[in-house]
Amino acid sequence: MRKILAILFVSALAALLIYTVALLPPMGDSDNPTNQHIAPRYLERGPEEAGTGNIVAGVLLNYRGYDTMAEVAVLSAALAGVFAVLGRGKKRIGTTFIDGSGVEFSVVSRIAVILLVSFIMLLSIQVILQGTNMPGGGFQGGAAIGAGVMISTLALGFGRTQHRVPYSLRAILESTGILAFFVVGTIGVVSGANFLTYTLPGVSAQAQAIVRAAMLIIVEIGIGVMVGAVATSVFFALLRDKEADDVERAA
Amino acid sequence: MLQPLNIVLLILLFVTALTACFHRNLLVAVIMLSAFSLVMGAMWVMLRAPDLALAEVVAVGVITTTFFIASVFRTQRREE
Amino acid sequence: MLNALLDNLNYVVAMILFCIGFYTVIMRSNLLKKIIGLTIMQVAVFFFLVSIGYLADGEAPTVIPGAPPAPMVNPLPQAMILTAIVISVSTTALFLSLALKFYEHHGTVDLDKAKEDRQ
Repeated sequence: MRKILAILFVSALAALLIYTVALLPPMGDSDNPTNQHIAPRYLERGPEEAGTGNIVAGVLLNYRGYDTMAEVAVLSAALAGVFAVLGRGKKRIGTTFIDGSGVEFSVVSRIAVILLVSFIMLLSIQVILQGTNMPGGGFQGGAAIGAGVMISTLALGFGRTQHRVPYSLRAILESTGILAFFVVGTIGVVSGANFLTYTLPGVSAQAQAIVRAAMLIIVEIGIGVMVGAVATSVFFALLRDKEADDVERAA
Repeated sequence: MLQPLNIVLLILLFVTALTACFHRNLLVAVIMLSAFSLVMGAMWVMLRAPDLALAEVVAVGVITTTFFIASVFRTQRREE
Repeated sequence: MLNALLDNLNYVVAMILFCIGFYTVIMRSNLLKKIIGLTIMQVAVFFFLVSIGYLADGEAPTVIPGAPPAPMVNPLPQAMILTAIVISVSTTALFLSLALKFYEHHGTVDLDKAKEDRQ
């Protein structure tokens, strides 16, 4: 009975939504209202005002830079929530059910993953650094770094991988994202303009383009490293057995 | 858009989404979620959004899927 | 009416995917299934928003030196949805950690079974 009611309700909702959506102007039309007001300005003046070849990265870091800073803050808040629920794991080597399961890690997968992870890390560094001129950026490269660490955990064992990325290193890397934003933004305030304008005090106008490109890359690297560290930390927290120094919750 | 590639991708989106939502084995559902994100990545490329294709495949298809697999291994495999 | 639906096929598919995810969230009692449904709802909304900014025969919004100038699709929804994808990863991570804690506490991830066991 509940199921029939739910199906009816969801069908009514779907019919209402589809009817509303069919009334929108046709997709891809060049005189849609969405393509009229601010989008042509971003597309024409984006590369010179924001300083990037990739206009989406320019919108993210320059026109809507405050939104990206808040997104990094949301990522930190989610990490704090996961640590509050599952524990931080400050012990040097944790244990997990992968290591103790009695299944041996095969030689083939170990060697393949070692090779693969080297190329994955190289590719993610390239994606982060070229994020201002080619599709990519800080978040994509950082998530690829996290993915590389995850695949090496699944094939090489939890103890070996956690030895390479211990809690002390992750704690430093997780703060670089928001720190990069604050440092670059405060330099903008010190040089007389608004927060997060990419300028340096006392630099000639020709060198401002180079300064802006350097600051954009600093911010991208900060975001990328932070996202990689957050993904790794959450993965370790979800996988790890409960440790003795985790916060005890009343049952 | 009514191009054939677009229609094939939309049908694949439906198939993977329905399997991910209604299959009883949780591991199968999670793998189909990863396939859903891969088909969605192809859809982003068709919508001329390469940044979003990269972000979707690596964020939903790798990272969220690995979180899910870690959770499924730690809890229970089947739905009932 | 049918012509309007076929023109906006992407929007219609996005709404149907949203309703599939919504049904999964409200009707399945397993917590992990609810999270899967939530992810599908989020991806459907992203799909809808970026499809609105599409321009027919447009190119990706990247300026490549040496390429002939071509009309580009709207970059603004793409930037917003990039932020939204990051936030979706964060909320999924938090929700999964809460589901693990629930399993530790009740011994099952199924909400109906946990309610029965409590009575």
